[in-house]
Amino acid sequence: MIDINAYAGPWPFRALPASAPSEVADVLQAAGIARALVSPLEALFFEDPRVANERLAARLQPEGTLLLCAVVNPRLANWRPVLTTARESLGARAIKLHPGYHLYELDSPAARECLAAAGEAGLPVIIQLRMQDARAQHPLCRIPDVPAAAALEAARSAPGAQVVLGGIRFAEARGQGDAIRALANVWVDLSQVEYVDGMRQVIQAVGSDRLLLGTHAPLFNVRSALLKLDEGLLSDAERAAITRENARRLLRV
Amino acid sequence: MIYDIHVHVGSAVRRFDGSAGEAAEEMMARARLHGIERQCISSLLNPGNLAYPSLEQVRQGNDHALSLAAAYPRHYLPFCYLNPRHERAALDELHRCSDRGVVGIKLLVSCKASDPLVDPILERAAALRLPVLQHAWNKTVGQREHESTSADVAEAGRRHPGTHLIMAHLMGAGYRGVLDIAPMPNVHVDLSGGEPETGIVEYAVRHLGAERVLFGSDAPGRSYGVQLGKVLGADLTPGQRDLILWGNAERILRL
Repeated sequence: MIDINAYAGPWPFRALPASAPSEVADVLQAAGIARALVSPLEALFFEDPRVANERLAARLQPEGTLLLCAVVNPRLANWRPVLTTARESLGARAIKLHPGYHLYELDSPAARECLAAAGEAGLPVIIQLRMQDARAQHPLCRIPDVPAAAALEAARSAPGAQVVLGGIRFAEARGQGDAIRALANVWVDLSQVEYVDGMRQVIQAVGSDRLLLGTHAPLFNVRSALLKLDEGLLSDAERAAITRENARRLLRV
Repeated sequence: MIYDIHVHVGSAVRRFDGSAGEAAEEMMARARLHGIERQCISSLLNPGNLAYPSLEQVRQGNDHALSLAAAYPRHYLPFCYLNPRHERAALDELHRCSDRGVVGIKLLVSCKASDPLVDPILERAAALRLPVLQHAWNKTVGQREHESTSADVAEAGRRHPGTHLIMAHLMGAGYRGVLDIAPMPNVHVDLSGGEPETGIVEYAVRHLGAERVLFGSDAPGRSYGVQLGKVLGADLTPGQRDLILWGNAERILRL
């Protein structure tokens, strides 16, 4: 299996049981996940996420379970060299945007240019809509969710970019199903999709060819991500697509 | 056999394929995929999540939960929903439902748990030996006017040491919630709702003991599998896991 949306590093609001890269890799491997796209949690809070990307890249094993997903902040003057360095020096397989944490709009010129540049570089872009339930955020650290519609509009504006909607919720994915289907460059991370019949209804709305297993580890329990799949009563073809083949094509692994 | 202590039913829970009718059988089948063989249900019928239901709405909802339990007696266990603002009529409704076999009481957001209006219900619950599942959440945004926090539940537990209180939503109450209820041995916590965050189940077990932690999903708004993953993926001993998944429920529900 391939996990499209994992993290490593400390989280400032609670102690994570396994957050070092090697620990995250062990947890994922134990769950049967062979490869995972991992980005640094520190990058949400560091003023320059490049530092966090470099620190994480230095701790990843060559040919190991974890593949770097570099965080880029288009609001900073250095976003172009950060993107280039991530691909050419750090071995990043994708980039991640955190508009909510880095305080920019997805329709800003820099964000649009960043998406286009990532497309030209062949790096998929995860647009992370949220990291946690807003109700559970620290009272002094209220980070707004990124509207799914804004991420879809950004994807529409950059058809050369491959966009993953990270942390999208069930109602958003189902509600935006037609829009997602209409855009050939959009995929859905399942890490925060939840409803009692959520998997089946999202497959119906979006199609299994657009869905990607995501765990949100080490913030979320990996077991939950896998039991969610079981509850979807997936066919073998659907399971293969969602847990492996879609990500393999996207990441070229 | 796993017990899910926190499930909602109602005609608002439509069949998964969108056809007419309630998804009671489908929810049963999905739960059973994970070994959940008993679901404790409460109902506010339709629209399902009323903050201040009328007495008539409460009665209809309870009749609905009781009818499902009668139709599937080996699976659904009915809880009696009450609105403490109905005062004497709420107690009458409790007795009506108790006579018909409810195994617990559900309180939502019509009244804070620490409000004196709730005291008669908690007293009667102890007399009837029925546990009280009390919604609670410590919200950064969106706290409702009469929505209980963990401090409210702790205060209710302190005033009624003979009543089994189950504070719903560990992830909503958070670490602060665990610390609030820790001194009250009659107050338990369920794991339902919220995200499957790592570490917090172990924290609750460390500070409350596994004897005070119960599995719940908050289905259908939540997935049985995602919520169960909180327990199966946590760093627990087999004994602790068994208590959380079924042992505590059987003891508290006296089954």
